[in-house]
Amino acid sequence: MRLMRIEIYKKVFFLFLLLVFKTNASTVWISSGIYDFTDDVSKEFYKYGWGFRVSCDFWQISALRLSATTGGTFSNVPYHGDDHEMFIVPLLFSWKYLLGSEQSKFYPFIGSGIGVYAKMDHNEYFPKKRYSFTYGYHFTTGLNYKISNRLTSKFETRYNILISPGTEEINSSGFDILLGIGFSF
Amino acid sequence: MNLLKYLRHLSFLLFYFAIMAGIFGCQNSSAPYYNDGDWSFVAFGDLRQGFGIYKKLAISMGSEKPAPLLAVCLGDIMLEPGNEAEWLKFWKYSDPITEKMPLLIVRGNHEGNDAASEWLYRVQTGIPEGQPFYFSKQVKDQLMIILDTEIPGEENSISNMQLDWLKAQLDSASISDDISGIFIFMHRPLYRQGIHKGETLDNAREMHELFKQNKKIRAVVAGHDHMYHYMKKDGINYIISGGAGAPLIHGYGGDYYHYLLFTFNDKINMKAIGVFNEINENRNL
Repeated sequence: MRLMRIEIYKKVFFLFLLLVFKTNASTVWISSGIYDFTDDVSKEFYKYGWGFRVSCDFWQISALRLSATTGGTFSNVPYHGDDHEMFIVPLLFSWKYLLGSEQSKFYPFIGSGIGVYAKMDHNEYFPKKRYSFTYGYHFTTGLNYKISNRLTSKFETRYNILISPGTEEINSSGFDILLGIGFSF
Repeated sequence: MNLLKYLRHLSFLLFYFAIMAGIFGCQNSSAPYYNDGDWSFVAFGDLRQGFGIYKKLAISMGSEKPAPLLAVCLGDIMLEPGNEAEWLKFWKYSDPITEKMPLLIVRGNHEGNDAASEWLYRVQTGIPEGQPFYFSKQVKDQLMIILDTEIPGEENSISNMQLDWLKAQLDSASISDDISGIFIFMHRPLYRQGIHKGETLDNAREMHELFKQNKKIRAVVAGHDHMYHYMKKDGINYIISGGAGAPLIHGYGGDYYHYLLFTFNDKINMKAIGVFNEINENRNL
């Protein structure tokens, strides 16, 4: 499990390095925070998730940005005398529109996009790990704070509306509430 | 040209995600159904406003094929006694069950036993005024006995008129050729588990002696403790099923959300099926 995660993240990190260098990305963001489920089943079972996101604004025109995001959301709850682990890997494509001037210290943004999500559930009593794949939409808003010419911090909330996979009734829609930092190239 | 470049990267990303999906195994996790008996019934207890988990379990119970002939709720549907909104929510989320089978309800301590709560209980469960909340129902060749551990003044016991009624039910069932087995349902268990281990029903010893005398009793099923627990004492199967949505008790085993599926063919089997349709317990009674 742990080795698999490491393997995945090595590959994701490699992917983003490629993206950054191949697309002349304007900004790479690293953020982390909590994932607040909106569906009753998920909220009662997983309580909440925590995780991180790596985003890359890979294209920009005026105040419009296109970005790709991945990362991981984790949850670990006691279940049947052991732990029940949940792991979501999203891959999101978003547009963001910066409101206000980039010259100012604070500037808010809004955006939306689409994404695909891989989810894994595991506990000792499952015969094997359970996987599901789905897609969804997201709407985002946040506030950037310019620390220096190259460094920017942000607070972001993203509402992920996931379509339940036909194979299970548990819906993983929820809010990402993130604090992050961006480095501009 | 730039657009082509970005599209190429986009397709690369999607391809990469597919590889990641491959790492995950990309398998179908469709819900299995375990009903392999000639007929079956389900039981669950203790929601206490955990309607999200209950909704998921209710869908699973309603999806059993062939449909169970009966569902028994072991009480503690709500948090606040006499709260009509919680009753309405319970019935709404019970739709997948009630569309397929009758649902019998055992009164829990959270349903309350003051006059207003009892009035609402009658309205919601259809028990007429003047009739007690304990009753029995025959399904196939099994007698289902629903007991009430919350009678005002007799809480945490089965006593007085109810005890006399129970003895009469057990006596008549023991000599009836139509009845080959008896299931007893009650909210408070004879022997509590988890953090309350050691506590008992006030007349647990008397009840246990009564059950021991009747060879047709297959199981005594209760809720109240938010967990699954099984024990066999002098040949009597005592089962606690209190994991239909209420906060679980951790650290004592059996801490998983579940419902019980009893199946009947040449033997009686019981499974505790979890929120992911996983089988947490599989036992012949």
